[in-house]
Amino acid sequence: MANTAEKILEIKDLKIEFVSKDSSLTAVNGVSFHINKGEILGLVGESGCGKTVTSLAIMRLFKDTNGKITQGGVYFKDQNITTVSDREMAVMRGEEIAMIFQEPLTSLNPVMRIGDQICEVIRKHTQKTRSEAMEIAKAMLMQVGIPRAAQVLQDYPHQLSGGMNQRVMIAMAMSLNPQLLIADEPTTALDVTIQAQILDLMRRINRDHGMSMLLITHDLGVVAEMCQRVIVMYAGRIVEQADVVDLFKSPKHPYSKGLIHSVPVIGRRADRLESIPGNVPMLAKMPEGCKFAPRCKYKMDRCEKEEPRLFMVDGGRQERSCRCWLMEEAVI
Amino acid sequence: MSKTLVQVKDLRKTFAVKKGFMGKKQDLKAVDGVSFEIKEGETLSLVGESGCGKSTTGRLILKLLQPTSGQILIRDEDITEYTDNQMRPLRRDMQMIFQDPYSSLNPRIKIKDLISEPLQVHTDMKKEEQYQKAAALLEIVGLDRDNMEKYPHEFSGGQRQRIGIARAISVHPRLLVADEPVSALDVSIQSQVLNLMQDLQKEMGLAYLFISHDLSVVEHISTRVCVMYLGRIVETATRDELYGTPLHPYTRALLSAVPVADPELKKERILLQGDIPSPVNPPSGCNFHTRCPECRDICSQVIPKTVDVGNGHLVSCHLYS
Repeated sequence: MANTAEKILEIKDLKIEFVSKDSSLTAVNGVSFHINKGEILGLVGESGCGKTVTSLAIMRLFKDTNGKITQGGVYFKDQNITTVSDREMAVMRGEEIAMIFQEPLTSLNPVMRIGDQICEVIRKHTQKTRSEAMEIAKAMLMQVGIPRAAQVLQDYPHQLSGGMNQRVMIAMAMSLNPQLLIADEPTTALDVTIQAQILDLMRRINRDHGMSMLLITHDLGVVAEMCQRVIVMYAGRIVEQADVVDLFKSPKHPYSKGLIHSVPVIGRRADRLESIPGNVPMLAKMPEGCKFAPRCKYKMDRCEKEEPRLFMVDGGRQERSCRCWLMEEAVI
Repeated sequence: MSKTLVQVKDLRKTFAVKKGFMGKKQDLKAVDGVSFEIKEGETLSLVGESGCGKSTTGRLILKLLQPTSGQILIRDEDITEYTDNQMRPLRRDMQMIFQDPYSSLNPRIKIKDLISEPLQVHTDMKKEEQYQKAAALLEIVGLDRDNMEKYPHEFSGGQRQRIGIARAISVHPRLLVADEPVSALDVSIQSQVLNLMQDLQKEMGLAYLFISHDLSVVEHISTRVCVMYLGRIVETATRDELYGTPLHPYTRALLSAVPVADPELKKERILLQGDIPSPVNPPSGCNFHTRCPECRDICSQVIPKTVDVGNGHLVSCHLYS
């Protein structure tokens, strides 16, 4: 069933490098995945694993950094958007793909009223007049559950709470009715009860508008509640790709296993948490072979020399794959 | 029954805040009548959302802030009015670790000196002995002895938190106040630090005041839990009671809001309406009444009394009084 679904975004063999005068660091290497129409895809991993860089590459937001896509491409509805002109890309941002970030307060302009900020987006992309745009902005704010929408239009970001600002960001992202929303840690900075509200809102938007989402997070709880499929990244590579239920029930990659078993789960008592020894490797000092080998308890000799490719698991059903030599025998 | 280490009675802390540049002063009640006790060797957690006063409470107990009113007793000794000089010998018994391991270690001091600093203040050990002890402490927290000559920037977040812990336990304290000690760490590192804290507790008989917003972590590590909302404790119970039969509507909502890392678990979710009110202008009566799904008339008028419903399970809610 999953194979017949329409792909809204496809990333093929993406490599992103940060180039400076005398060195180049590879942040993301050989990343391929796709998002189906109407699904919420989770991208999990710890800091420095390349999840945010991947999302910035989709939006082509590298301009002011020395980051470069050096290999592969990003296809939005079969069009390679790594090669379109900046002008075309500017149109796509907002109209086709929108993005929300972790810190709503730093993503909003502090000296501009909420209403004006949303209007700016709408008027840049459409022929609407200011008052028409303001009406849409108000309707959007109401849709994301902001009470007193008319008044909030007149407010500045600092007058609103974190949760409210994130709702404003979502309203702004939705105002042009894009088909894909990239949410980079959208609830990480929020309190638990507010996080629950925002996740509920995102789920509703996904259901009612059929909006596809790429949800980037480090929080396995959020992934379990929101996503249908999950991609686990480590050190710039995809290490596992699976249906959400399969991933939590029987994680295949030693890293996914370690990650899932190292978080305490409410109602499931353990005397001791499992932990992954060591630290995430630094970009400049990547180990040869499997990048996880130095921390892996199943490490074999070959892991330190050869990097495994993504092996299909379960005969490729559910598009399940895992980058580990242990899975080699599982290839059919 | 183990002995009581810390006792806090009706503790209050009010900050004066100005509204705007020329505005008039207003009172912000960060901690508004909090009472609890910490027993030797246990982990008491303070859990709540931002602005609930959990960090302020932690700082008050260590007298890093002077309480506005109320009492703090350490082993029955009233320290509320102690001066800094009087506090100094007591600080040996009470240490703290912080959320941000990047900003809580002086970047220009070597690891060996960072860890031995408390020894220098609190003991008459010679420099050499101090360094020996520091090296041993590094090993206890799972770092190599070779790290003695390094500076904090050479370590990752998890390693820095270990250094912070080594420094805090160097003088064999009885109480460690841990303010969000794992919130800034990656998931795989978080469990390393939690395991270390539990091991140290077993070996040294340490008591923890564990301040956190993460209910999953709190369930894992606590003996007892206090839930705070806008400066007040709304519920106190043993871990099993609090997670098994939460009584206060806020506790229930909080627990139901936590995303659980199990996609097959379908749970009832209580979605609270609205935001946390500002502590400068808190609601009257029970300050949770503006968001409470079970709010009644009395709730907006009268502050609920704290009642013991059995086994030391305390709850402040009109539903139970």
